[in-house]
Amino acid sequence: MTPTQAQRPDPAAFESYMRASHRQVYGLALRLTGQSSDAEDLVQEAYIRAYRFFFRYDPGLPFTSWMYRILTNIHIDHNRRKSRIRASSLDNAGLDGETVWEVADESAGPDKLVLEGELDDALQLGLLSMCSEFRLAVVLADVEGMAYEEIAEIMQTSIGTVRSRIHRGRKQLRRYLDREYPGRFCEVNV
Amino acid sequence: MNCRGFRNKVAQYADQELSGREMLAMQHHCRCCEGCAAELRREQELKNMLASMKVPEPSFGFEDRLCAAINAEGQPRRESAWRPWRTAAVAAVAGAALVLGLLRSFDRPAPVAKSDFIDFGADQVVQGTQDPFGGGPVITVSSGNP
Ligand SMILES: [Zn+2]
Repeated sequence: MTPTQAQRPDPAAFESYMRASHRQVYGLALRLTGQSSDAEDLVQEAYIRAYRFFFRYDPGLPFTSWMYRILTNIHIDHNRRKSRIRASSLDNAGLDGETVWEVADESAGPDKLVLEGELDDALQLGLLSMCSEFRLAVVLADVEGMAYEEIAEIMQTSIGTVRSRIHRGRKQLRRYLDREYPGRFCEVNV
Repeated sequence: MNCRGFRNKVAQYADQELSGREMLAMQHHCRCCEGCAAELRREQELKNMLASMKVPEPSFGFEDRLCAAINAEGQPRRESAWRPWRTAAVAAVAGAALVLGLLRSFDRPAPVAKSDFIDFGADQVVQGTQDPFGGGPVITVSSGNP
């Protein structure tokens, strides 16, 4: 089967999409990782993957949404991989027969951020203190302004799960701000 | 509607993700309950703060580095005719890996990790995910290096 004209990838078209969208995509990556170098790596990996599979992009849909979906997938995969490595090292070290599988997202720890001095924004630290699924749902809803249905599509989960992650994520964030910045965000604090 | 019901749905209310009838019930409760009205204000305030976060800029020259990385990739792939065969081959490999995994599980206690990864060979990983490009579930075999 010979690819039709529509199936032929167009590097120039991809480049123009990339130039128009990369700042927005980087913004999301930075909210998720908290580190500019990690965010740039994530964005680069996402665009390379998008380029390889550009023939699957439907031009009728926003390119940024497609990129968000690819980027969040890679981000989720990275987190799973890290959890898997940590879990297996815990397993190897666990001589008492007790292994904890609920591993927090240590890769995006607020401590690192403070040390590197890249973003000292209280909200960003609060976002990074959350577990990655809650953070992703809250960032997509509140920073990116997406509807639950769109978030469910990007996170490949049900609207009910998105609803619960946003509800619990915001609660976590408010608790964090209340604990770390008491009295500073009086309307937000619980 | 009681206070508990209101607070369970306050996020959806602030996000305008409730039905018209539910929105009206929430609105009505808010008018008669000072505590829940304050809860709603806090939720909206947090949302506003998150929405007004500054959009960060990537480092100088990032756009050009991105272009260079993509150019280094060469031509993007094309939809190829043998894709269904490749899918079938990957599924067959994954199936064999699952069988191997099952056989191996007889030798040791069953793993309890909450992970989608299954060990396969010394340096490979078989992973089941959703296709980010809308093609449904995908099973990939890749290097085990993170
Ligand atoms: Zn009430």
